[in-house]
Amino acid sequence: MNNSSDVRESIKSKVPSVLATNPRLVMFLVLVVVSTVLSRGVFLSPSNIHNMLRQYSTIGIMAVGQTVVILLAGVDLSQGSMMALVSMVVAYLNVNGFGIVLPLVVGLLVGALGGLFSGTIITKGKVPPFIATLAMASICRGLATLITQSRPIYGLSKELLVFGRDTIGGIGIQVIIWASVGLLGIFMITRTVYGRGVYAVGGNEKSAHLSGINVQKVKLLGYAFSGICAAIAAIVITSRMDMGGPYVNANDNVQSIASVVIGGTSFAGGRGSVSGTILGTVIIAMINNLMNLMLINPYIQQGIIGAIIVVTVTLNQRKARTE
Amino acid sequence: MFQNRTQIKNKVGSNFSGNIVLPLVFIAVMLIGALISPLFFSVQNLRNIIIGSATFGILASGMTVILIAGEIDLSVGSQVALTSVVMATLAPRSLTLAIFVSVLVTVSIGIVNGVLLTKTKMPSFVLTLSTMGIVRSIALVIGDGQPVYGVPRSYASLANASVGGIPLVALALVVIYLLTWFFLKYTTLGRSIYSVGSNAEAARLTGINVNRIKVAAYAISGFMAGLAGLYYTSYVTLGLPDGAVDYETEAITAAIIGGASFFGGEGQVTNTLLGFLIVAIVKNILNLMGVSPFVQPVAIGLLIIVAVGVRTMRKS
Repeated sequence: MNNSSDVRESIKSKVPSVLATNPRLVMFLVLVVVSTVLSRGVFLSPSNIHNMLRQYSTIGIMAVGQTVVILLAGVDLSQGSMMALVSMVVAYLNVNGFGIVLPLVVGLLVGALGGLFSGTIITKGKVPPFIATLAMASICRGLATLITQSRPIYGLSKELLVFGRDTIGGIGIQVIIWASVGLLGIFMITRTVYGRGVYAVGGNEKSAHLSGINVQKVKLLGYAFSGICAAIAAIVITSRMDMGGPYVNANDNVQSIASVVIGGTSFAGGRGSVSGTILGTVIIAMINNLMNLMLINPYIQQGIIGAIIVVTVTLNQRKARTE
Repeated sequence: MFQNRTQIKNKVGSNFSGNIVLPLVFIAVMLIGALISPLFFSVQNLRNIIIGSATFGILASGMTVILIAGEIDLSVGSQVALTSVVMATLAPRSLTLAIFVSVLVTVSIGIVNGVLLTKTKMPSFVLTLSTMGIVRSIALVIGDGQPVYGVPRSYASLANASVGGIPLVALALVVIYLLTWFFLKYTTLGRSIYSVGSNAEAARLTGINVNRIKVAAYAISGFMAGLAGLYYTSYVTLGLPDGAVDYETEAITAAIIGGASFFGGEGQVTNTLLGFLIVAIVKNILNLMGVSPFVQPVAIGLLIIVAVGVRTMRKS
């Protein structure tokens, strides 16, 4: 009797403090309530939630990679264009009779090599990450349109469509891929030597170097991982749209960054988490879902994402300064 | 130590990349152009180069000011699109009003960028990436995602107009670059932008209001985006809410090839002019060679990497 009331007391005292330290969770809960009320319960229906997760899995996958580079005090502005390039490469190889496995392997390789290339420019050329990846974005966009003179590629083989369309046990495969990439990211960042290297390099590059960490290698692998995530997202979206698309919405890159920012990762590097990012993507998905439910002009939506980034970064920095 | 490094960087930057190498590269690309096609030096082709690229040229002068201040402005492409929509919407009523409102809007966007930057202390590429989306949204909402017609024909013909055989916009570019050059070199505000960019803390200690200077730099960037938008509207002859995508990348490329640094305090608008011409000529050469236009973004990306890479190697 006494025990249970103690427990209740301690939960009561902990809940507000958890909420106070985690504005994402508050945002998430508020969004759940508001969406549920405004949609008269439709929001909470399994099919709505499932659709939402399927739709945002590509952004969610990219955001996991983006988290690692932002933790390294960098950024990857080439993810959106890389996604377009990989989508075209995979589709091109697939419709030209190279089967399934080879296009997928080559697609992932393109992502990894592209990331390594950006990483090399950043580490060896001492180019600021946003400029290096901006240049990389331009290169990828050009190559993506070059393959077919900017025409989409149709007629993919059926086996390629499983990644964006099939389900396992009622759950869309792309959601499972997102969850796997997310778990891999969490594991990599929190449980491996590499993850500790990421936090060390992002927190203070000089002291990381002095403590014997190979800073360049950590950064190179970070950008390679970001490129691979963009490639996985490309495979999912190619499969979902049943075509290779040379123009993937540039907004996707902004949403990937927004997920990371809302997830609480700091642009100064060294502070943040992949789990926060996953919640960040879910929050963005819910905001967009809510705007659709409220029939808000879709053209306003990318502006709202931009505004959310500004507000969140401001709040995060306020918090960091008061701490 | 950091101060020393920026001082050395300043000296190296102005002595080498500015004075000798850049004009040589410029002459080299001209020669390559002449060798590749007899059409290169034709009056028509030279006109095409300027008229087709002038929007980037105007943006690049504003981008140079922002880079000297040690910041970046990724929202200028969206600002150009917004200007074209505002122009196409208002010009049928009154052209003067349309021009006035357009420039007022972009200068205000610049001021908002600057104020948000100085108040929130967030990295400028994140901030302007966000305002890029916001400004693009506004353009799309005003135009309802569709091209806006209504630019008067007389205004649309300005892009192709000439004075004594020289395109009007070429003269405009000369005036814009001369004014920016004069501003950066001979006004207090211009010189303050250099000191804020090379060492904000030192600038603050000498009594410069760093925040105000940064806001001013963004206002100038907005002003230039407005001018670029005015020209763009005449060039494309309508309001394009989804137009001018990635124009900021080309403006940045021109400024960087011209020797502006991302670390601030460095860069000359005269060199940016050369950088802009080099990029425009390289694109023209690719066209004359019959290379697919889709190669151009690849070339732009590589030019950025090569320009920065060469500079870094020379410094180390």
